[in-house]
Amino acid sequence: MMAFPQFVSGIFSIVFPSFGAPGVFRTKAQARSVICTRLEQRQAAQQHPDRIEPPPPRGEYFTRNLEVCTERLVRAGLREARDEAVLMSLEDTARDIARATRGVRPDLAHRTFQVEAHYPSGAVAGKIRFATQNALMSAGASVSDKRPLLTAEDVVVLSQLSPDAAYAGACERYARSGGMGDQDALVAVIVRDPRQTDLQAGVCADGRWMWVR
Amino acid sequence: MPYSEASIRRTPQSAATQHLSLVAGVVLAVSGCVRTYQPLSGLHDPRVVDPTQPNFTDLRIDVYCVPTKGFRASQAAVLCQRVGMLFENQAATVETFTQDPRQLMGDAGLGGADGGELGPPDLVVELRSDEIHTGYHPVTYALSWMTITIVPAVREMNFTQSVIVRDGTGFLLSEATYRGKVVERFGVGTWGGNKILDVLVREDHEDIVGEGANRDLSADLYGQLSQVVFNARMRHEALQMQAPVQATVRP
Repeated sequence: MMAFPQFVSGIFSIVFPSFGAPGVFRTKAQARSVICTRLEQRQAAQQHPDRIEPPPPRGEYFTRNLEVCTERLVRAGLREARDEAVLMSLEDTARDIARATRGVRPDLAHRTFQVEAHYPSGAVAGKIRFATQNALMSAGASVSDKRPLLTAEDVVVLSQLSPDAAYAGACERYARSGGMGDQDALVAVIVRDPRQTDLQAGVCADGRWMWVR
Repeated sequence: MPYSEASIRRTPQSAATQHLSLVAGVVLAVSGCVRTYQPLSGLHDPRVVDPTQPNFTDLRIDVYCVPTKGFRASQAAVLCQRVGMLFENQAATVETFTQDPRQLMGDAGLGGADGGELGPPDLVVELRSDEIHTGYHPVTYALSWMTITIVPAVREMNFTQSVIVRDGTGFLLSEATYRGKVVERFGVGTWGGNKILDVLVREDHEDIVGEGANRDLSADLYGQLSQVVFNARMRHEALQMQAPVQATVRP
């Protein structure tokens, strides 16, 4: 069943090598709409067993390499470039934040983590928060859905500070106002500059702010 | 003598004509090279940083281009020069190296007291280029020869470009690997066909014949490098802002 399509694709690759590259059959935009990985036949067969046969157990006379391409989930230009960049790597970023939090502040292991995301788009901020909560739980931390609150006066004062000083100030106010208890810790995920596509994170515990990423 | 005088005189002319036609054929085939570039992963990811803006004001960056087996020191020097200019245009102070600056400066931490008059750099950008696969497709060469280059001969090259950004003490701030492919098609047929499509059908940014491939590759690579270094800069600043916290583990 699988031999015929493989034979056809083999012939096709000889007659039209580098079919995926821009040329008569594909525009540059089409070539840019996919993400491709070069794999050996064995790896490709593990990832796509329905399409690719594994190499024979005794091996072959030559090594086959395949280029596996996947379409982007969302068409280019449909979302803001920064949103797209953040969401493309969100799972890895969230895992990295959870790992850094546990590594940098091991003393907070027994606490319940709350998560805040400071991002211009509310919809994306929600996704960031959810992903970070999941990653913290996967790392074995207790996670709460609560969020610490500030009074209106605090918000007025903090809004007059520089953005970087405001995080430490807010953390101090959380502790003093009772917004966070002794058994709580806060992970805040932040974008500090509109030009960055990388999420940063800090931990607030006992009124002390610390950047972890 | 079996040849007449006239035929003897003609012989050098025939050889010259043959040579000329051979040279003309080679020139025709070479001039009919169409180079295309396809980003495979990372190079065409979305980015926000505009490389024409001063994104690295007051920042000292060392750029270290690592020569490898398939990437000679001279090529590394050219890459370093271009990337150095890229960051200088964004208001950074740049120094370039094709040997490990840690060894050149005699310390393991990329800086320190004897790391030069200026002290350690703010960021060290390490670039490593590798050619991971080159395909010559001999069937297309044979077909091209048989059809007087109407069918193109195809050659492709897959490459990776890795970038690692550290701070002046060697602390890892950011890293990325970009993969791409350059395909070269030789022949009159492919050159003519694509030229006609460029003129009649394709929009300007979709043109294939000419320097479009190099331009697109440079735009992608320099854009991504600017973005990853900017992200590293933001992390570096955040880590500089805080005083160390003494972590205490409760029993």
